[in-house]
Amino acid sequence: MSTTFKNISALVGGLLAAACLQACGKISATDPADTVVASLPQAAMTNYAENCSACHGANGVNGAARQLADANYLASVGRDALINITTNGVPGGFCPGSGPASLAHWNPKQVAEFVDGMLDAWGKNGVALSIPWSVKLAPAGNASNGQAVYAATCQSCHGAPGATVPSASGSVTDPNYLRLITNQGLRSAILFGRPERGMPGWSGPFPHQAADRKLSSQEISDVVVFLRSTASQKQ
Amino acid sequence: MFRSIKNMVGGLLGWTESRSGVISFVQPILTHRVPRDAKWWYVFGSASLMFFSIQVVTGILLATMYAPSAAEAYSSLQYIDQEVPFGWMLRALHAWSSNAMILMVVIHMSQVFLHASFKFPRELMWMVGVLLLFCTLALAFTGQIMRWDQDAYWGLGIGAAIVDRVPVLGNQMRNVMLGGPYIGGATLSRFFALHVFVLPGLTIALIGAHMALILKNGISEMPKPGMVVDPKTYVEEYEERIKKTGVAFMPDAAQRDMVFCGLMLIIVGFLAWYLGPVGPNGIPNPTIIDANPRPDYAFLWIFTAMALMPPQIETAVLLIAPPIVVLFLLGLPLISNRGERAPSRRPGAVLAYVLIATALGTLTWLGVVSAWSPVMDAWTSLPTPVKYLVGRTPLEMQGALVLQHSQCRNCHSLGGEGGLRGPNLDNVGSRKSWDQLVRQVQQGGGNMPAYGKNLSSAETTAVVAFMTTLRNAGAPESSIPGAMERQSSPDQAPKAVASEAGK
Ligand code: HEC
Ligand code: HEC
Ligand code: HEC
Repeated sequence: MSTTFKNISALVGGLLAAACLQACGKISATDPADTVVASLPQAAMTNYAENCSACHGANGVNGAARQLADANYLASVGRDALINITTNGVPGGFCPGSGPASLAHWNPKQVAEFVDGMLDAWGKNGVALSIPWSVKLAPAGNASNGQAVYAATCQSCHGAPGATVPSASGSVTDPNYLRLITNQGLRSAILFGRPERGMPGWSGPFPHQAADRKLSSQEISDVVVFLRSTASQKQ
Repeated sequence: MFRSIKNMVGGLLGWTESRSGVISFVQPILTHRVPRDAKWWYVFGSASLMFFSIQVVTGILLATMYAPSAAEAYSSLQYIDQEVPFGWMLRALHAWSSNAMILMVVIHMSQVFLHASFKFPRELMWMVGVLLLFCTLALAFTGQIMRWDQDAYWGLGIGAAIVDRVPVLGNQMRNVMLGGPYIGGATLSRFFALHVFVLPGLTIALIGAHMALILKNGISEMPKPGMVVDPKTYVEEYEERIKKTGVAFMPDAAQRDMVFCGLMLIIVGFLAWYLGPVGPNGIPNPTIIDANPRPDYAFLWIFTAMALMPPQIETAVLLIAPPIVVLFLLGLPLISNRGERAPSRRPGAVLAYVLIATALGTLTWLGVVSAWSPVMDAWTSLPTPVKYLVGRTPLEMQGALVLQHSQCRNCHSLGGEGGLRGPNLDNVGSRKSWDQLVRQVQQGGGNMPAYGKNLSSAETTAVVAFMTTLRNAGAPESSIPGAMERQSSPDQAPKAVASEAGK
């Protein structure tokens, strides 16, 4: 009953809105469907806009969560892992993917189509990293080595753990922050950076990466373990 | 043969009568004379009574199977729906006949108001009737809580928020109502006691009084323009007319009552069979997706009014309006108990009625189509405006993600996009301090669900840290009882970590 009402009112509202757009000749710039339309195949575009754009950003960049429109990133993660994440989300993180917690509930075929569409639009000519993306394949880390790496490479922007003056790029040792991000999230951030936000990537031959700075797979694991250790010491 | 049965029945009746007086009690009810022109206008009161009786019967049956504990209520309803033969029909009848009873009571009251039947000497009948209206609504409200689902949570949330705004005593009253600061097991026990003992008892007593007054004062005649009520002469004239032109309640008026009640019964029975029981609609949890909780129809207009009212005047309206309404309804026959009764001679009253009915109807209709209801897919489809992410710390970025992930955006807009049920959050950092934001998220308030334990302390900290950054360029952070807390946690790790990390 009330859904019928809702449908009718949505219809009426939609017609009114369409009429207004016609009349005023302008289209809301922030409508996700409009901004993504240029770069993704049609179906994947709508699906991305409805289910992912809120966090990963319209057009796959400038969201609160990591950008997905990044060819090197997509190439390094690979189709299988992307399908897995899109199907299940990120366990322990805020990503629902298209899994049971989301509104999408895609079947495997829809997921595959979506991922292929994404690779098509954003993954052309991507260069896969020579070191593993997944934490599952990464070597075990060592906290005290990580501390040294952190002091040498990260501290200038993120400040010493527990520093009392705010650092230029904000603390990544804040215990609350660390309780909200997964190890994979940390590893991805260090590997690829957040180029749109000024965080350099540390493992590529990436255009935005300073040439003299490159971290090995081991060093990245060390830093992740070190970051975790700063939080667990608090508890 | 036939004769001896008749004798036996007669003997039995005589025996009972001499010991209980039951016949001399019932007889005047059946034979009391009612105005001849009473006709179909007067069936609604009887229909209300019939639906109340159905509620009592179905209610008692339901109470034998319902488990009034927070842990079991939900599953016991599902048990009744699925396992008990015709259990679903029982629940459906109870729900739909409750709606029908409210409708009948409202129509009955409208008729009495429009015909000014509340004038002398029937003032008390009206007042008892008003109390019965409140009992009916209270029964409906407490009944909706028995479902112990999201809608119940919602209804309670609004109720508690209203109570909470009472100056000084608000907090204690809320605790009494909910059995603690939050909605929990104690809340359900309380409302169960109200719904099955206190309110039905009160209602039955009031119905008794209402009936006794009918017998004493008689039913009013159809109003005629020019036929003026004057307390000095009315009673005599009425008795006179009734003696001359009145008819016995049984069978003349009762016939019509029975036809109408039968018809209503068929309709409600059909609705119950066709539409099934109402709810339970999902376990209460504000972070569950696909939830669009709303109160039952009778309360939808309150919910709408709350959603549409500017927040500044809400408290004033919520605290001042109900006492005025109650006093007005109760006091109405005292303000005007004489004079014309015909609607054509009381244009003011008719106009007032039309206005009020239109307002309530419109609000209810808006509640059904609910233009401001949550945008259910906002949390995955509306990007956080890029300008609100510039220069934010990693923790604040996580806060922006919590705001999406916990579906705050389904009710709150950012950059002009999102739900409109709550205020937009574009500027919330200048309106609210750190402490106030934490309180709002954890305890809810207004029409916002309490997130309480559904958000971890890290999630709460992050989302509040993000919200404090939402303010006009250059505007200072809202003045700040919680400034100390803000220093210690969000941007920097505490001192303990520094010393550990330093060695
Ligand atoms: C040139 C300055 C700079 C350096 C050096 C730097 N970062 Fe960053 N980092 C940033 C900026 C800018 C951000 C974006 C802040 C934000 O997203 O809120 C960021 C974000 C992050 C994030 C958060 C990513 C997310 O999605 O939540 C992590 C984790 C991080 N950096 C770790 C590191 C580590 C570990 C190092 C050392 C290997 C490092 N950063 C070196 C500037 C830097
Ligand atoms: C509610 C916000 C939200 C939505 C909606 C969302 N994500 Fe995510 N996503 C995140 C967050 C936060 C992370 C990082 C989780 C972590 O590691 O802590 C993430 C991580 C990911 C990653 C892995 C990033 C890495 O660590 O390398 C992929 C791939 C991804 N999301 C794809 C998607 C796709 C595809 C959709 C749409 C079907 C989607 N996401 C919808 C928030 C979201
Ligand atoms: C079901 C709808 C709904 C959801 C979901 C919701 N809110 Fe609200 N929120 C409201 C309403 C309604 C109000 C107005 C309360 C009042 O009138 O006092 C409100 C008020 C607020 C306020 C105070 C705003 C002000 O200007 O006074 C803040 C802050 C807030 N909400 C934050 C959140 C956050 C954070 C979340 C998610 C964790 C959230 N809300 C989820 C409905 C909602």
